Amino acid sequence: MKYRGLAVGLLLFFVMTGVAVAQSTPAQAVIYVQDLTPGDLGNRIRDILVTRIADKFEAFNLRAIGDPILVDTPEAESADFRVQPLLAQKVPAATDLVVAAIFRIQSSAVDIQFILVDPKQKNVLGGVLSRARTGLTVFTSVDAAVNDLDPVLTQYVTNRYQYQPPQGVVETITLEGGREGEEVFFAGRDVGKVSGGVLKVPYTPFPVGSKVRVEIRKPGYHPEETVVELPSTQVKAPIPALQRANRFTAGVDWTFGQALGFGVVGRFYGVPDWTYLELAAYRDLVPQTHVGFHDLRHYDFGVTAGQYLFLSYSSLVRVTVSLGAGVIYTSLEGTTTPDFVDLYLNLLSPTVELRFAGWQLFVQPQMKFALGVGDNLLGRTWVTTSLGIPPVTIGVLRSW
Amino acid sequence: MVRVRSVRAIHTVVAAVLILSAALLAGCSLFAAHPFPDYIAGIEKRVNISERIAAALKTAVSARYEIGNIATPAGDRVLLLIDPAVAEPNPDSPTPLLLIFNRTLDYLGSVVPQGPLGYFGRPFALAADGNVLSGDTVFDPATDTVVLTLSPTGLTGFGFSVTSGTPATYILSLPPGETASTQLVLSSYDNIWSAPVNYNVDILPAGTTGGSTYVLEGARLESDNDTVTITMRDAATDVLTVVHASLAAVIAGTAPALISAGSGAATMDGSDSKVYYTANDIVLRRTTGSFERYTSDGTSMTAKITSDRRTGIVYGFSPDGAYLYRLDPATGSFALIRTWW
Repeated sequence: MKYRGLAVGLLLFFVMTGVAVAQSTPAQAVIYVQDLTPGDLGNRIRDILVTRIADKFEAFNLRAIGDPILVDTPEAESADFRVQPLLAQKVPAATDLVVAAIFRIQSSAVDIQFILVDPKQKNVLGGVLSRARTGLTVFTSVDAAVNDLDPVLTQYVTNRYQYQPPQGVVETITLEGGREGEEVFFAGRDVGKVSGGVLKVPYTPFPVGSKVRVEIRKPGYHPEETVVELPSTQVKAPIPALQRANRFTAGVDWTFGQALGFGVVGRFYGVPDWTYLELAAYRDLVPQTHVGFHDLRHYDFGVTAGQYLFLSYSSLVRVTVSLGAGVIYTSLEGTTTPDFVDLYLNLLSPTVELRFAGWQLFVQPQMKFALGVGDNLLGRTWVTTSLGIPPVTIGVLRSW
Repeated sequence: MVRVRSVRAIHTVVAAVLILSAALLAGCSLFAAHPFPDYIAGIEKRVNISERIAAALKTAVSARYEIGNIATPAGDRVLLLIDPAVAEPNPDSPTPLLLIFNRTLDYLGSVVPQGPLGYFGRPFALAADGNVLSGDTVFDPATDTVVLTLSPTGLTGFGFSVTSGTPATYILSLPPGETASTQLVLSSYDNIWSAPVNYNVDILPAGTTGGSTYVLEGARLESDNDTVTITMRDAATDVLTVVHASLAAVIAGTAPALISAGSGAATMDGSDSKVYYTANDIVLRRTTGSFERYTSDGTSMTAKITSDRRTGIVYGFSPDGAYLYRLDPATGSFALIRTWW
């Protein structure tokens, strides 16, 4: 009886000690680094990431096994299921944890997606999307990015034996629509390009019910911003097809008041679809029936600067005003009399456009003020038809 | 997305159809409308007289321009008056100048008035003695030299001459000092330009009170050498009245009032207009932008054409109405234009 209490005490001591030893056994982890950057630009970042993640292993009492898995994939590869090939990687059977870092260098920044994967359960345990600077500060900025892993690793170490799937966070986000090659920025971070009408956003644990600002860009197209709602763990959301940013417009027109004629017009946009320089030419004939009268020909050349107002380039109806100058030559067929020359200012001629599928139908009252200089016909006055109203031009334009 | 595009397409097509429909509806009248005067299609010839105008103006910046047209035995003459505006006359000031062209705008010469009281302007007429009368100045069209200067009294009317029987040159005008009246004055000059004999011509019957007063707009002796076609403007209403008077009756003092019961006076709207005479027509140029040709009695319009709405252009018609002359003083462009009738 004297030693019964001692035996029980020792038994309890060893049981407790054994549990503690078992719990402090380091998890065996593998480093996985995937470079999405074309060429060799990412080699340095890759090396830094391997070193820093290994440091984290040591700090969090994780034991690295095997060599780091280094994967180099072209940028064109779909951004998501970067994690799928990861899960398919042959990692040592004893691996408890894969810490993956998937990165892409874009100009002066590098986006890094960290994912913790349990290869045995084939589960994503957590992740974080981070951004670092390249250049001279790459070491410190990558350090800072790797530090973003700390909360995730802490949670893993703390609850290592209790896999707890993320609660209340979005697991997959699929964006549908858009144009091929549109770049998508999700909450300010580049999440890849649309391919085949689909973009799967890399795993980021957004809270269910949140709203995320999405910016879409493509060279030669107008960027757009939209907000995507994330109402469930599996989200499919549409994104708009970007509209081409037009630099040029050409078209033909016809003017009431100069009826037997037609014109051509060309525009160059300084600010695509908003501000333009326009060159226009119009030629018309006024046939005569009186004996001895000569047919009249008018040649109208104008240059104007125009500005669209109020409504977006995607609006069905748009309004523009233009300011410029021009000259109208009037010649008499079959005579040697010199041409009349009327210089004019084009003073804020308003234009209303109907836009559809790259075509624009337009109506424009010609607000021309003749200057009455030179050998002119019109004098110094507003140019109006014999009905007392300004000439009105209608036409069709095509932009590209 | 497809549905949205379809809706937009429908809206676009509907709007385009509406616009085109409106355009077509309006098109009937708009089709022939354009900003330029129609008469320019009849231009036969243009000459630039800017240097002659500049020489006439000297230091003056503006001038009064007027075109007079007369038929002479040697052919039609186009008399272009350039009367510089001079604020404070001095010996170096520009003087009025009458440029003389033939019917097809070939330059023939020029005349300047004699003396400080000499001037040019209405009436423009071929006198019975073969000289030309303009303003108070009589000059020889063969030599472009001034023959004499008349007493400048009541010489703002319209002139004509009779060469058969007793040759005489007549000037029909408003009474001296009046801008509108109920009476006209017919002045008769013999061939040696003695002091004129004046005859009163009542516009309204004697004793009429409180009625209209009239401005003389034109007078022409018809081919019978007796009938005078007179156009007057009611100073209050702008109505133009065209009447005929017998020269013999006026001289005999038996002529009735020009506008009276049974006078057969024809009227027409004279608003915004200037009156021109040709041999067989009365032409109104409306500042609203048209030339309107009326029959000699003013009863019906026979031709209309779009003209300028600008100001500053000077016009005149050849005596036979075959040509319109157009001067743009600012550019010196002087045009010979075939008329549209």
